[in-house]
Amino acid sequence: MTRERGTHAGPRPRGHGATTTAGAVLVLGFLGVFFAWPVVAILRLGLRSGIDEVLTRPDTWRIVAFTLGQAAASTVVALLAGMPLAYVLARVPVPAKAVLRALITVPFVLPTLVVGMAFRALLGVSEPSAWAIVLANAFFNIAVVARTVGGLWAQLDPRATDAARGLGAGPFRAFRTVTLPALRPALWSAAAVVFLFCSTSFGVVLVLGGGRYRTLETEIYLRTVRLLDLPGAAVLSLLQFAAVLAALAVAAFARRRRESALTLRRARGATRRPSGVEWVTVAAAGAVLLALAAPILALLVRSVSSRTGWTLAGYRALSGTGGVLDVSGWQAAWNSLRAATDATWMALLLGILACLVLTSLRNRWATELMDAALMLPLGVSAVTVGFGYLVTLHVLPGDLRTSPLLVPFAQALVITPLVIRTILPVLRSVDQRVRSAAATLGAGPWRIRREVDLPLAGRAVVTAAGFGFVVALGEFGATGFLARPEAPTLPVAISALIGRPGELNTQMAYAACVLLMLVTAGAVLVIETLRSDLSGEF
Amino acid sequence: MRAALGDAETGPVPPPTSREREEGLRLEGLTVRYGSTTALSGVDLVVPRNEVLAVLGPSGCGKTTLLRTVAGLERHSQGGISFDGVDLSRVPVHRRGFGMVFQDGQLFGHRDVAGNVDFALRMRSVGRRERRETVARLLESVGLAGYQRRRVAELSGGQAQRVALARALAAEPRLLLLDEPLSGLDRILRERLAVDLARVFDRASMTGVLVTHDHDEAFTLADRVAVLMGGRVEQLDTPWRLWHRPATEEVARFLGCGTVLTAYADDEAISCALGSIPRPEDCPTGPVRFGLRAAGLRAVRSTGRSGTGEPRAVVRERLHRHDHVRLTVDVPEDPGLGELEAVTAHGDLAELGEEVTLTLDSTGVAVIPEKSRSRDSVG
Repeated sequence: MTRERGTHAGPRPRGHGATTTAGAVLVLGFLGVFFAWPVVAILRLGLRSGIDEVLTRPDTWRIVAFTLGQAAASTVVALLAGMPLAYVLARVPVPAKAVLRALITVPFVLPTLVVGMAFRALLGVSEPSAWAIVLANAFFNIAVVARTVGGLWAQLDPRATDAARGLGAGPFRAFRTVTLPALRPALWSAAAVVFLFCSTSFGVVLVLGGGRYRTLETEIYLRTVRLLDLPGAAVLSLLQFAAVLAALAVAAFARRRRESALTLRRARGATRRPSGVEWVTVAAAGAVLLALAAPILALLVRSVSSRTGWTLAGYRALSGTGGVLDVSGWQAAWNSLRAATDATWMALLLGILACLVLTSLRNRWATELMDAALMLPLGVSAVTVGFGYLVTLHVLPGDLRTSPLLVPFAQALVITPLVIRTILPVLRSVDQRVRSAAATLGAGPWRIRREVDLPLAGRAVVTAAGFGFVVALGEFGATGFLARPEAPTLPVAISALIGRPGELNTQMAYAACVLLMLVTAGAVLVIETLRSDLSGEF
Repeated sequence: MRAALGDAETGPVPPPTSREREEGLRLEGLTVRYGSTTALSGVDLVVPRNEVLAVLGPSGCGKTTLLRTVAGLERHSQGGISFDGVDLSRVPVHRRGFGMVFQDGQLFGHRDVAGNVDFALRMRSVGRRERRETVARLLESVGLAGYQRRRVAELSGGQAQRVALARALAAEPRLLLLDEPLSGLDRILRERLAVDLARVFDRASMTGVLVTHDHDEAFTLADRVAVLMGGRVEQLDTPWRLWHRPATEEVARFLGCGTVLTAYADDEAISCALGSIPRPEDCPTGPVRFGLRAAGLRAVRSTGRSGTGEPRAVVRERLHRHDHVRLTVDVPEDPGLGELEAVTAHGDLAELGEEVTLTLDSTGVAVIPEKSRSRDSVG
């Protein structure tokens, strides 16, 4: 008997194979024009002059070491802090768990500049600080750990632990010998993703590191924008790319194991009142929640206070024009919303098409390769992409460089991997026999997509759209490059404000951060209420 | 039909109807391979219209593959599939007009019961009112009237399977394929649903192929049964003949014959080491084999009844069943027979180690034709 799930699809009429190929060509074509081409152009531009000169500079290796070191430290902190939350999300009957999950998620989608500013406000320092960078990066990614690990944890049958306890294992022993091994795929997957995010973190390092602590990402930015040292930037991009590929490979390996283990059924009675030492974990989770709230509160307080006392000067200044900004803060917010909306529908189109192609391809290697190719934008410095656009896109008809769609294009590219990683696991977990059933009832291949796959993935699509939207809102690396001066987005405006001295400018920057944070948090709360129980990977 | 008919000794298969050549499902030399493994090899089967064929076999015998290939969900590497004389090899699943009921329902979780049942009608752009009426009628016919708005997740296993059946029937399929439709259900529910299914088939004059590993299910629902083993059809017969005249030892063992003995048929009777039964008319004379089910041997305490010439055995194990006691015995005088199963009544219980007398009961004896190529049988 053959009872395949997921991987093996029945034979398709020849036309469908052609459509799949066409879809693949479309997706990869977009990726080629708006990602590969600009990136390769930048690399070639840089590599014309010597690599060895850059590689032999001790400075380069210091930066590499710091990049990896801070990413590793941040990952460890995020894992340690995320585990208690994962436990609470998966195992403890908390009232209004959706709200809790939303609160945990807010930091993850906050724009990097906002987080940088929030930690600056919290620690009260303007001095560069490596620890602030590590804490801020961890702050971001605790949600990734809590959700990825918690999602799998909730699906583990708690009776396995009960059995271990029944056989004489203490609570810690049972956790170490039963729960932890079962969670390993999610842990690896989370660690790889967090490491990836931390090693390419940009805004946080820019704000908190000053000139002293530099990572590959900020260095690429500085070399390109400030020093116009393209060869240096290109070599560093290559270095970063290699590191990212390694992290992605680990993530893909862990992910495959997880997707194959994923069942759509949620174990009954998975949550129960904690007892004994479990309260320690709950208390730890509470402490983590407070720690997550602290920078946000600090940012709020800082935005309405100055050296002389409480003030709304920042907000007042934001609503007018003049100063360093060409437009008012509200106008910048409006620009952000518009660009993010455009980026979201583009990324949805591209991402959904990519997911359909990825679940239609029959060749395993083709699937793996395409899956990996679609994840690449995660790993390439957004700065590189942005700069690449400026170098290449004038070749295309209808000069895109002056088009208002340029920023959304770049943002769409950044959020498409996110969209895919949210929708794809759900599509992959649909039992192939449900599709077979639809086929025997007279539904053709594309009808099955519409009638079975899309409705089942519906909530994942909503989630993907929401997360994509908020990430696009906060995107700065590429946007900072491409936004026209007369139409800055909020992050671009914030960056401009930080760069200027003066109490009022700082005050305005904090106010703008609060504005961006409120928009983001609001979007997350809306998504969470619509969201399916089954989380994707981020 | 050659392989399906088995050898001449099995006796005649029920006469094929005259329409058989043009109508219904026909599989010719159907072969399915996955890489280097062969799931089906050279299967020939014909299912005339208005007949239900059960494909019976142990797990891994290829029966689900057979069904999926007929549905168009698997590609075959050799041979042909046709319906009413029309070749289906190039026809995709959704245009074959076959309905399928999957093992555990595979209902659409995102639709309610009515949304599941009217799926096929929507695929054919049937109007809303007609859909509503058809759904109501179908749900009533499977005993779920008024369940339209129920969520699929709220259904019990039996109800889900009924909805799956209604959903498949809504397409008015010219052939209904059922993949172990009852195997996920508990025993009582399974029996009740099997009877209901049989009724639905009867009323609708259904043409169908049912795949199962459970012979009760096959015998209840099917007109003819094909036994599939190792990707080949071992025997195609009516339920009665399959049970009483298995074509090979493997089939006999699969159908519950724990012991196979050599026997000889003369004009009057068929005899083996444990006794004889009257020769049925359809059995030719000459060497044959017996397949013994537990009910084929009756054990009686031999105390005080000696010298009748019947074989004596010693009780090794006792197992209480609902209406009889099953004994495991061995025959000291003929150790070659090994352990045998026999039944005895509750009233006359032999102790462990006690001697019993064995008699053959023809209702529990299957007659298997002797074949030169077959392995040596036990005893």
